[in-house]
Amino acid sequence: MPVIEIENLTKYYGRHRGIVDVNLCVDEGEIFGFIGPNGAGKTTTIRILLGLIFPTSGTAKIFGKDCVKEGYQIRKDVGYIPGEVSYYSDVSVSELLDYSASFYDHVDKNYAKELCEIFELDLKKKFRELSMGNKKKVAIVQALLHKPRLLICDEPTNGLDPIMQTRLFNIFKELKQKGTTIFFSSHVLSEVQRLCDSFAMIKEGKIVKTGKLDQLGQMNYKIVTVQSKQKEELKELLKIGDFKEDNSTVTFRYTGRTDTLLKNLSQVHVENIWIEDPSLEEFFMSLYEEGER
Amino acid sequence: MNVYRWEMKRNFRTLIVWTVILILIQLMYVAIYPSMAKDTELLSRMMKVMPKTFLRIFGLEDFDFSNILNYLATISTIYVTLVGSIFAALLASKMLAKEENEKTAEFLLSKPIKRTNVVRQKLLTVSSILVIFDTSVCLFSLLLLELYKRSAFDYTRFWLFWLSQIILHLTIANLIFAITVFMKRQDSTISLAIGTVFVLYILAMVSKLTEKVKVLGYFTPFYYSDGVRIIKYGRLEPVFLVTYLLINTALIFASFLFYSKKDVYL
Repeated sequence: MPVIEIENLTKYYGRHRGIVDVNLCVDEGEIFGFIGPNGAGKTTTIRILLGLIFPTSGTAKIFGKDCVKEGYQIRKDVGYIPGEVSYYSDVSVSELLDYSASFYDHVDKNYAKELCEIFELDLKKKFRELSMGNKKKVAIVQALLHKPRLLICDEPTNGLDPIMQTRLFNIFKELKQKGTTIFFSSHVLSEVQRLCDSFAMIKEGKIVKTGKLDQLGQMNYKIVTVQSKQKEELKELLKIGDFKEDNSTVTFRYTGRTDTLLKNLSQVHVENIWIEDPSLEEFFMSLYEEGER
Repeated sequence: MNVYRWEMKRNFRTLIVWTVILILIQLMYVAIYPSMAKDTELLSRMMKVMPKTFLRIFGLEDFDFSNILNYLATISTIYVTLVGSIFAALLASKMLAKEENEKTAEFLLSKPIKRTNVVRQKLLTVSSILVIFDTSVCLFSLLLLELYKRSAFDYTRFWLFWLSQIILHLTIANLIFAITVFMKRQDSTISLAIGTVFVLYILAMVSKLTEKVKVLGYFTPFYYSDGVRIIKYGRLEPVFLVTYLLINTALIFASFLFYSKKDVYL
């Protein structure tokens, strides 16, 4: 059963484009990555799902209920971690969490306490005294304490240190096992690759690609830069047409088995080598090129 | 009612500060009353030399200062009517606008709560605070009157005066609240709120200048709740009460309707 169904969703802010004709489907129990550069429409989509803004046309449904008409019922089972956390600055963390809990019918106090311990939250501090990362942690706890069926996150790792990122991802995996659906937006491709089952890519308000993550793996290529004097031999060996040459180095995209690449490379004299994942920008460029062809 | 409890708690300190300020101002003016009352003769003569229009604006034409109620009402037209209205305007403008300005609306509206319920609890907070505020100042005023009075005064007029002030403050609050609901961005809400109060106040003053512009008075609640007139004639005109009722119903209804459909930009 789909948890989120978005059909032909369009939002214009006056004349400005928010999103255009977005179609998405998120199944129950999956982790869904919503990828796109800044200003692509990720936050707009999320805000429509939460009922903060209303669509110009099209529909968005969560748990089969309409986000515009039944938002109140939907939000009982939704947790939301915002991209930029701005809460009431003059209250303490514990007051804020209590206020958050007061909106839900059954809140397990022990679970909330456990979450605070995992993220090492100082409950007595005033919200305004917290650093960006700590604010984010408060946002994570308040989104989880009522055990939502759907968790919506807008760039959840933004501002978190690597240790906390790992803890958050572990929690995501645990929640997934319990059947929670997680929808999160990100512009960090590696994050999505590590966690997600499915993904959608949005650019300039339009969905450019959706699919399962294993498809993303097939498209996945490496950016290889080799420093070598035997450039011509290298070209012949690898049989790749698209080389970028720069003084003593050559750069090319490599798709395929990594060990084949290494075997081939061992036949020439290599002074230095860099094998990198493509950046999201490059990834988008390749998608665009694919679209044009 | 969790939003109501939360807002009451957060606004409690402001309430105390404004109440204390108003009480202190009253105390200050009542403290100089005995010396004023001694020289009523002189005061009346002084009034006669002042320009007629000036007296009319402040409602001081043939006003008898030997009665403390008259004295306090005249003073209160500035302090309770205007300062109280500014408090009401600021309070109402903060209620929703602050959530949008400080982006806490994102927190509140992503919770399972209907928009209409947000408006209901926020408006309830505003009215509760204003009623507590006015009641406290009113009761303190009554105490002062009892302590400093030289002759008996009409209690009905006293209560009518305060009733008119509470209604005025609630109306101002509902008006400003509705304006903030209509506004897309909340950058200049506070100046707009105070500006609106002053424009309406000045409108009421201008309307008292000549018969020609009297009609202007019907556009401002300050005219309906003119303390000096109420104390003088001892009545709050039913037509004004009906107008108040209609205005407030319309404003509250508009707030509910528009907030339910509002895109909350952050």
